[in-house]
Amino acid sequence: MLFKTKADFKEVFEMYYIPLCNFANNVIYNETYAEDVVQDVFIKLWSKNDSLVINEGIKSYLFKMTKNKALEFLRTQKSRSQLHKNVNIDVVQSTDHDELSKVYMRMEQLNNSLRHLPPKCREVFALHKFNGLSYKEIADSMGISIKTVENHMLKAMKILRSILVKKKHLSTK
Amino acid sequence: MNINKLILKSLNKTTSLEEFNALEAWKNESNENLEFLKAMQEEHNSVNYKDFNKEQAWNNINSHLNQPIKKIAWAKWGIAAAILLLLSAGSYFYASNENIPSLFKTQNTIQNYALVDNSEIWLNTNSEVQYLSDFKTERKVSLSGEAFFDVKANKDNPFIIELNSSDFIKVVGTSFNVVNRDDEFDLTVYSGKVEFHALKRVINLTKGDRIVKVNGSFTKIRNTDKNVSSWKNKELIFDNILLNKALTQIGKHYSVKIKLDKSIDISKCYLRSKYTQESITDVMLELSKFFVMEYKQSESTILISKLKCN
Repeated sequence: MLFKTKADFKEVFEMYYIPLCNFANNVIYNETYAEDVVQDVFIKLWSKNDSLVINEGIKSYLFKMTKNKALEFLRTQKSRSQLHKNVNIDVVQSTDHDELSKVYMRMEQLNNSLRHLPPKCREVFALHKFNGLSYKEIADSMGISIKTVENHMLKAMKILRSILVKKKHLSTK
Repeated sequence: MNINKLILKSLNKTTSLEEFNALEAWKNESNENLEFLKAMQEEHNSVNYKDFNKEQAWNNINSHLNQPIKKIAWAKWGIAAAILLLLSAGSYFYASNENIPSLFKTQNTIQNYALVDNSEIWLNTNSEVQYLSDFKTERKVSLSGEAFFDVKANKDNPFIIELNSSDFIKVVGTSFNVVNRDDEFDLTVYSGKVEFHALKRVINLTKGDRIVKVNGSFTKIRNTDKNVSSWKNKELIFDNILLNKALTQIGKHYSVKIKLDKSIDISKCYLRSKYTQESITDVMLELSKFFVMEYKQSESTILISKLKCN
């Protein structure tokens, strides 16, 4: 038995649903179908709860299943239309599901922290850190002063740091 | 070609096969190249990292967890499944097992459920079916919205669908489609016998009969519309029917508004075709080949500016 209670199952769902959806979305490029695929994986998982034995760890297993389901989806879609010419071949070829899952879990962790930021603050932070815009460019594109951009950045750092500290505190307990 | 440009193209999935092969070759040249490409990909993905609605997803998954859906599964498991079914049916009300839902509800999706008596229901979008009894002495549910019922035969235990406080549908074993909303009622029988109890009268229906509500009163007609349960079968059939009617049904099926320019007269146009799981884009494309047609398609509306039938 993989999960003793439904609560255990839900816990795993909570942890992996969003990263798995992002992973599936990067394979099939459709958010709705990506969600369908991942929900299907979880329903299957629960239905096999009694009999399933997983050797590789639940994380790798979920990513492997999601990849297989997403590819299966593409195959059935392809016969109908030629919309999906550009399959993400790197994902398809990658067989190291442990590595793959780590990448997505890292993104999830970062994003999870960003969710705690106020919307404007988050936008500024993302534009600077991910899109590599300078403070001046951000100020111009958002129609705010450089000083305000700086304040948003400082606030973002402060919040993120406090979250990190809290997490460390929890994990050492 | 500039390698950076190539990488950018690959991240946006716009490489041609040659470009893809060129990038593959470059990637395999050195470990450094490989690492760089991986880093770029990760960077790209994290910028595009999206939030998905966990709560809605959980509700959706949860509604699937405890109900056997596919009949095939039952056939395969045979007796074991029968015993399991008895156990789950028995424990449902008596142990008040909270894992088995007593309410089936859909929002944006069409769902298929099996009830404890092994009857099946398909729920159209924004619809709801609720258990009103324990299914042992009596089989009783309520419905709001649209559903297709395939009821397992049991002469001693009729299946009742409550429509409101006084009206209901009573069957022994049959299949039928029901729409029960504030402003709309439609009952179409596909097999077996159905008793329709409304306004303290009983109307007996058999295969091919249909009840519709017109100006507040119920009328019994023969059903000639092949698309009543197209939402469930995912199949639209047009057997030489008026194009006007066909367009209405296509619009309803795909939840789009199809508008015709006032200058167009299609009163003498007929359509004979069949669509199985095609997208609305494909359907419109085919129609534009049948008829001399010009149209504009946006997400929720289709505007036909020109149309001539042959």
